[in-house]
Amino acid sequence: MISLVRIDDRLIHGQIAVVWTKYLGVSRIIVANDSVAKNDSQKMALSLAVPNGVKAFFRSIEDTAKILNDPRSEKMKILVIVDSPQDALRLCDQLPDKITTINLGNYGRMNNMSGGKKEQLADNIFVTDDDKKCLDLLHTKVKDIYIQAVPTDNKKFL
Amino acid sequence: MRQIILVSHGNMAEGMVNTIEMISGKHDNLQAFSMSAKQTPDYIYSSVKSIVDKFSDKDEIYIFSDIAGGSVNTEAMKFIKYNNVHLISGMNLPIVIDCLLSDGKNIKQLLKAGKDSLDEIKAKKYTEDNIWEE
Repeated sequence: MISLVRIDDRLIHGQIAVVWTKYLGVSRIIVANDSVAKNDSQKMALSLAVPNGVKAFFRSIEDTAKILNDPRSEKMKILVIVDSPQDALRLCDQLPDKITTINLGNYGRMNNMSGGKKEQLADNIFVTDDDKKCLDLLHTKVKDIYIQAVPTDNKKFL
Repeated sequence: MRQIILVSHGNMAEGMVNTIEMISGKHDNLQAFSMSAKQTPDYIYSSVKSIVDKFSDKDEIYIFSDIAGGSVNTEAMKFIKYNNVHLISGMNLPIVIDCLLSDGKNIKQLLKAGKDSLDEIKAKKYTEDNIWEE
């Protein structure tokens, strides 16, 4: 079962490894990202951050959807991480009604794309107009989208 | 809830708290006392005492110091006569976070995890388990 879908452009890092996995009690982390799925050195670097007792897997969005649609995934607790609202949307589209909430953890501080001006929604969340449109569309497909970097922070619902 | 007190020469203790907050948010039960070059070790003694006095002997208190043999650790040693107080010297980030987040671990388990966390990182070929296997 999906314990959480999180948008975090750092993918696996301290907050995930140390705090979220313990808080959610997951046994699996799936990083759903088309380019990371093909990049062995990135996979190796990210997997170093994974704590004992948790296994990390790196799959394309499509392959992640296949795993989550597989009935065998029901009995395991899985944290799914995507790096953008756009990827979250793509994932939701392949898993109709399976995802009801999305956690927006860290996004937008790093990439200086030509996406244009960014609005800061919270300490670690910066969105372009495109991102905002994407989040609006996502909101029509999932019940709740909330900003929360670590479980001890208050949730800020969009 | 466990109380955790970090003590050090200079900014290590406060720096450790700053790092922990970045990773796992704020924690009411985590305090730091950094002894500056201008202060005397008595600052550490009275600061730790002010915390220890607030709690009953049913509350577990973990004190982490920077290094054994330093005067900061020596002051902290004055509290280990209390059954509910544990003192660990040579703190590292993993052991403090573990103490904070893993309520169920006892001091032996914490020390093992803390020591195991200090290790060389070696590049290795990426291999993956079967996702369906336990």
